[in-house]
Amino acid sequence: MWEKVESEVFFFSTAKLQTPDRMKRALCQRGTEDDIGEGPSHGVSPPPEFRKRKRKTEEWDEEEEVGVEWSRMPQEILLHVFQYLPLLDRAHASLVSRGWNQVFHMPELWRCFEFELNQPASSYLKATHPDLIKQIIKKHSNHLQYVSFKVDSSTESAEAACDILSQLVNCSLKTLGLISTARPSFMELPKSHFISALTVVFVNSKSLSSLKIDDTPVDDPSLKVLVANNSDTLKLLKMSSCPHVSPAGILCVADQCHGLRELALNYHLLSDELLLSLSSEKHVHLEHLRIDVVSDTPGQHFHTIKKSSWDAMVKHSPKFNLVMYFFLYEDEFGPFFKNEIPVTHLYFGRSVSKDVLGRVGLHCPRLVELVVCANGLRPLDEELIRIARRCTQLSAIGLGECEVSCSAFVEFVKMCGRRLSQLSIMEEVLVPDHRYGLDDIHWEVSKHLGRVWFPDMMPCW
Amino acid sequence: MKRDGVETYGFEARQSGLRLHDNPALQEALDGADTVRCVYILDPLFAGSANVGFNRWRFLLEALEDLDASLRKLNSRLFVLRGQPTNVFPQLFKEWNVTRLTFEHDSEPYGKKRDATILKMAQDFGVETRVRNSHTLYKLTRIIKMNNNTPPLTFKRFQVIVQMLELPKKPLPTVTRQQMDCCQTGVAANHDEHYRVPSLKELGFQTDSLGPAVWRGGETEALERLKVDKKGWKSRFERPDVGVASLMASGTGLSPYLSFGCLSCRTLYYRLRDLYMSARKHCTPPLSLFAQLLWREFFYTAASNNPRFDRMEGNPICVQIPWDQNPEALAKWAEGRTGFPWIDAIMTQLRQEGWIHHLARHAVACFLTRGDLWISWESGMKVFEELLLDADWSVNAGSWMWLSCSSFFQQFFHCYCPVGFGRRTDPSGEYIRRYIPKLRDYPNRYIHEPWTAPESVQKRANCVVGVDYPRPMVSHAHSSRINIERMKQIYKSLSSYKGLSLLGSVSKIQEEAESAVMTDVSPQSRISNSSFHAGRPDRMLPGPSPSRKRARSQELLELTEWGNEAKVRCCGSANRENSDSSEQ
Repeated sequence: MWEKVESEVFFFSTAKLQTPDRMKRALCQRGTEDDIGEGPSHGVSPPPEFRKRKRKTEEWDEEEEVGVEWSRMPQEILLHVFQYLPLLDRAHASLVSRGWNQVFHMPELWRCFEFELNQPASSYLKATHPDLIKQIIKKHSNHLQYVSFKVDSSTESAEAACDILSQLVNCSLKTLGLISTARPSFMELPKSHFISALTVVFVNSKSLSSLKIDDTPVDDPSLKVLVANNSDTLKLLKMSSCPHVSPAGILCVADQCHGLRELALNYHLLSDELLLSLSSEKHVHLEHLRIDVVSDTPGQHFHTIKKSSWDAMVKHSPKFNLVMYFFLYEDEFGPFFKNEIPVTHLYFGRSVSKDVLGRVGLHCPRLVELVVCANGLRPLDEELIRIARRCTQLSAIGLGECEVSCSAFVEFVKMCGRRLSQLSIMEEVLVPDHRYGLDDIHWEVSKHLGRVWFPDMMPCW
Repeated sequence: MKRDGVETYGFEARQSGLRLHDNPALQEALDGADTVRCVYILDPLFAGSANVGFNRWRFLLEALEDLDASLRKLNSRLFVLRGQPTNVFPQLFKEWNVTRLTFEHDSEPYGKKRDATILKMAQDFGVETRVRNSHTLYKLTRIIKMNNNTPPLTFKRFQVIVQMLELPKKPLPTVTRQQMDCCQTGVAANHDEHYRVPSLKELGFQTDSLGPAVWRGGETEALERLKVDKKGWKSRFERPDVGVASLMASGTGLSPYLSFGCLSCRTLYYRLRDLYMSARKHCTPPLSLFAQLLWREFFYTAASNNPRFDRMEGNPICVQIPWDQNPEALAKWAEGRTGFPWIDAIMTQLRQEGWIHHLARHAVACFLTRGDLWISWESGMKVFEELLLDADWSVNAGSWMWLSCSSFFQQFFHCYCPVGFGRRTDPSGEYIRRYIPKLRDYPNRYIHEPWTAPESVQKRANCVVGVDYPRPMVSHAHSSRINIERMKQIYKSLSSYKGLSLLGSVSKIQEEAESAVMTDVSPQSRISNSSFHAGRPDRMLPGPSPSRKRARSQELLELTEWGNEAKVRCCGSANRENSDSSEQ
């Protein structure tokens, strides 16, 4: 009755000859959930025996009896069910029969894979089993299309990721993400090692559309290889904090990859030339530009970007989002917000002065979200009111260690009204004054927002 | 009741009810009894374990001494017994012919388990038991019931429910001499030999090199603190102005006394209420007046049915965050060697005195976890458990989850800067100089970041960074940038929010969870929910409905973070475009 299970399923020594719970649930819910209903199972009727016994399977009691029918289920249905199961459950299910095992190895199920590389000494999370990695490289590497690596803070894990990358010679990836979950461990690798692994993918894939390589030692020559092989397909490139790339290196990408729609990089790579290149006629509309402005040493000097370059960007891609994260010391803001800038999302990760926030109100007409982690001890009353008046798109604001008088805050909310969909204000920010105390301000604010609102509270313990 | 019956009123080995005022369990013990004994069981194995530090033991022993002294005045004594409760109880039941056992209700999962064992033992010996609630203001089960049988996960929601409840029960009067006189205690001549409060030395602590206690344990001291002049109390009615003075241990601090049960929370509640009403012409006090008590209550409620409340793994309300394991960095933090004077001063104060201001707790907790070191909140919680006088299990774990943005839908955008926050709170560096005397001679300008001082200044101050005082162990700008990205990554993967807004993902999760509590209450859907989570620890937060989650788990790398149409989905769409490849 039951076919003998092949020994190639590697990670379970005890084979349970029954349908795993989740599998049953997935089968049971078939047809009842919209998102499953769209699949190829539509119009395919199960074999008669399967249909006959279906009611019985819902009771889940007499499993042995229905076993035969389970194993004869059409492959496409099984494949569809498998797609909704986590790998572990699929592996369990693959032990049912040879037929199920075949489905387990179908390319459709191996298009997408997330390698989790963690060392027990540095992470609490489990890692992808080395045997599974071997198996994937051996049997499924040509099926892989959407791959990401999650790597903990240890150099060994980053190295392991590079080893896998360098073995992906016969695959054609569409997306690749290198994600450091704790400290940026790719930065600790020898640059040449990392580059040679990464270029294996660049050279062999030829149709990469998304690439997330933040916090890695990628450099100009490797970006050239990327461009040479993937210029027609590249749509997304995220490379914040890649210190070995120069403005010329990223310019080369922008010049050649006309389909690039999303870009994330550090401010030191941003140039007028880059913006002009991204707004050239050949280039598609940019959707998203993310800039990190980070200071490594206090007192660092930053270059300026011409207003005309930003204007060209807005003209070419009128709807593009400009997201800027600032991690600067207060005295380094000199070159910023002197002229109009089309920024839509602003995050100030460190203390920012009243003066700079005043300039934000003057020069950021497209601002949608403003988050200020800290400010001095002087209330930000006029600044907020100016922002409410001038930034007519503003819909989200977050304030951390700042101060605002309750009256000014109410005024701000009144001016913005219901478009303020996110309003995250720490309780200590609001300074009671003659008009509003802490106990009644949330009513007043709720009234203007049209929904119940409270300030964010922190536990006192 | 048998004439030879003995009523025993049992205190437990953990902090609870170390007082004679508002003590319903003791009142129950006295009810019609011939004899009453107040018993405290001390587990000596517990003393040796690392998770309760010296200051906490000292406080406990002082509290026991104080209780014993108060009982003496009532012609009675405290019976301190050493041993495991499971061994001690049967022996006592027999020896003293116990007919009734009363104790304070413990809402925490471990306490409940332990109490259940004791109740079972009492039942086996035919001993009547009475358990009374007095460690929290409200009956926590009632709050949970009113929130559709789940503990509220936001403080707002909790407050809404509390406002629907009647006021907490009034505190009971202190036990009087008359009451005690009605029943004897039967103190033997050799009482001290068997039942006296042990000294720290006996518990194996080195006591020679220790300074005096900043916080004196005991009910007497707690009640003394309640009496302080009205001016001291007034500050509680207003917006707290946090300065250096509030960072220091003060004569009005009460949290350790609440934690050990030297002070009844209900007594404190009514004291606050009365003071407010007399000061504000009988206005009903706002909830914010009781903030500290309510936070405590909130965490007690959240933890009451969750035995894994104090850990990340397997804790259904905790976001699974890939924290780094780094024992070396953890030790630097715990021992105050981070190189950030503000952080080091706080950790030193905690170690020396056992108490730090709540904003100081925020600062060091943020630094250890999501702010700078990216180390698990569990490690920090354990250090606090050892050092902090008021480290109640629920409140400690809950606060750590809160501060590390691991639960309770906290916005994570704001990280306390280990330099800037210190400078705001302690501009003159007075606090730092007190706890890190090495930095005493630094000018104010540099005291929060001594590594920026010119070498000549460092030499003049007799403290060279890198030699006499550590260099900062991380670059805050660098690590906070990385960490905010990590948090974003985690919260994005939990939420169905796809926009660019940094604030959007958390509020979306909260919305979804709150609507889940309101609508999804059938036990069946809950079961399927949790079994779906099992094995997928990264998606454990109560949030999107199971079907949505299942669909989401298919996504791997999104092409756009906000556009829905270009989203890369692995199997579903791939399957359709390449349906022929299955022939291979």
